[in-house]
Amino acid sequence: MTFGGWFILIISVGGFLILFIACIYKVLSLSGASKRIEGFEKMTPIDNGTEPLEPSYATRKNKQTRTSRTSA
Amino acid sequence: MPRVKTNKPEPAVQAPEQWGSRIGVVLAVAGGAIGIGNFLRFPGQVAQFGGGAFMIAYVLSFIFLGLPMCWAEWTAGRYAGSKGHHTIPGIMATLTGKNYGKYLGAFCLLIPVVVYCYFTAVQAWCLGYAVNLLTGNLAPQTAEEASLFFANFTGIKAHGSALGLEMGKLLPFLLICLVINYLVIAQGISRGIERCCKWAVPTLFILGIIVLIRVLTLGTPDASKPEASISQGLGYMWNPQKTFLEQAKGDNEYPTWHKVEELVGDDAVAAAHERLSHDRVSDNRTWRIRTVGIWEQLARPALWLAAAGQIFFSLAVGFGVIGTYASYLTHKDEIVLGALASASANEAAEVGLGGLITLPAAVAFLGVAGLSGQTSLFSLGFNVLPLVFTKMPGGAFFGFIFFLLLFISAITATLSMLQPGIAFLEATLGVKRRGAVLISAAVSLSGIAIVTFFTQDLKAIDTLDFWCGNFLIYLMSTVFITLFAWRLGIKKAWAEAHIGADIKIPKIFKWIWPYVTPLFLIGVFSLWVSLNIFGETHAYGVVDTHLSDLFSSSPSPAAWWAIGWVICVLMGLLYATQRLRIEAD
Repeated sequence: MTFGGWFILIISVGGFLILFIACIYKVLSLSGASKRIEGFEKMTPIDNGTEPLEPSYATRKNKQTRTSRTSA
Repeated sequence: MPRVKTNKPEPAVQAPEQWGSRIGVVLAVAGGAIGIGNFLRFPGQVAQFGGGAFMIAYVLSFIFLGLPMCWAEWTAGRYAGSKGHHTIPGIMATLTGKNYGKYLGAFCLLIPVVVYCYFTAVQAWCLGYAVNLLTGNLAPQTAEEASLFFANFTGIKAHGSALGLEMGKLLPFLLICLVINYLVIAQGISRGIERCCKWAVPTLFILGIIVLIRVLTLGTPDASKPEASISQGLGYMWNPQKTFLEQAKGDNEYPTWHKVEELVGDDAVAAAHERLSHDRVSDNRTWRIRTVGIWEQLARPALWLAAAGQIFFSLAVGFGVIGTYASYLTHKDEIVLGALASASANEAAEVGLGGLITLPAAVAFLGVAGLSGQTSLFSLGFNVLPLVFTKMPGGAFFGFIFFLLLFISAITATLSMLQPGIAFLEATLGVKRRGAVLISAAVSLSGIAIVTFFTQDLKAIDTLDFWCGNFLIYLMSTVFITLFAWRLGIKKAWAEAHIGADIKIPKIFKWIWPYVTPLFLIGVFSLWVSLNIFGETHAYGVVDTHLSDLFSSSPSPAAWWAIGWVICVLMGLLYATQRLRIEAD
């Protein structure tokens, strides 16, 4: 194995290992960030100007709840 | 008066399945990506082109092709999931905003359905090899014995010859694999796939590290053969320059040079120079020693095709499985970091484990010359490695651990290929999960029966892999990324990806997504068609075997059975897709 071979091996293996460890560490350490995510969603809603192709589960459930309340 | 129930919730809307935890979905996607290609295909590619040149092309492909595709699939999947779609046709329809999108999605869905059928057979090979190595049924002393076991096990000699129930045959292990796959997938997303991957992916890494330690501590197993050592094996893979001893053939003035031997390390090159000068055969016309540098390798289109293809298949992009998994996420779930984490887990397994285990171990026992260029996936894995483990101290145990690792990686990959079809059946036929699993099993078993019976020259597997596992994947991935970037639009895609994001995608990807990745994919696809269908020489009248198997005067029945089955499945998917309730704009 030449010096160049060792260099490429260490850079390649080391680079991807560091990336992997950093990502997994961040995923595990930020696992309780749901409140921040909700806040972000409220601040920057997606406005694509179109209706959804099919009513989402949440929309359907809300509609259903409203219908049952009206009936009651 | 209508009767009003006020104390019971309405049962009409069934809550969609969801992932149980954030790390769960990352491990599930990583498990879907990590497969036998990480451990058997990657090292062969690195060795073929030299570590330096290959890794440059590989890293560039990761940045410009792999990562953008991962982020796009995660984004499209969650976007469609937020609108209630968990099927590939639903995801494609959401991207296009038009009804035709769901029919494009049916073609995409064909990929995991078909690939699952032959990949299950490969999964059974891994299990069979693990058990046979541990029990001592597989202990080849020569390359011929290893090849004979492979031929008997897979039935490569004649159609139907893999159907026995002995330990040295495919069938019993295939049945075990099918039972495991369907038992796990029937449990659902969180209780089945996620729980399995949370256990399987860390186990896979632990097993890999055990085998890696064994391999790296082998040193020079036979002191009388210093050319066969771990250091030589690592050099064979990772040295930036490749040096060959070549012999001239043909015309004296314009000879064609044929590689006779690869020379690894300064000692081997010096010894070759000395041998040539001593034998007085080196008159620069019949023999030469040629060094191929990084830039010369990088100028070869085949290198770029190999690197891009490796990234593409290794990250499991283009199969539609990432999008399907991501569709079970909500806008409260993060995806940018998740996508990067799962991609990096796959790369760590590929480069950190796959790049250091198989070929160095093979060279340590057989030498570079003994390897005889057997660096393709099947040759390396199922002919060379059993021989290597037989020669290794404690080889039966370490061989078992290695093939168990491959088997576990195959389980997580097959689960990811089953889920898109099951989600599609649930959505189109309105059946519950157990019913969808049963229908999926019936469809898959018909394909697996063809793969298991038509085993001569592995013709059925080869045909399905070529047309669905390569051609269709490249084609549909190009369609997907183009629709994602241009139909959904970068502005909307960018905003959607960053909802709840813990990290930001670098802004340069706003340019990479619409321009670089589609062009890169079109280039790779064109190159693949050029090299694999028309051949490297483009000689007139020379037709690739995959075409001649289907359209020559004597077509292959096995190839036609395989393609006929694919067409039947596609018809079924297109028919069922009509039932998908999607309102167009």
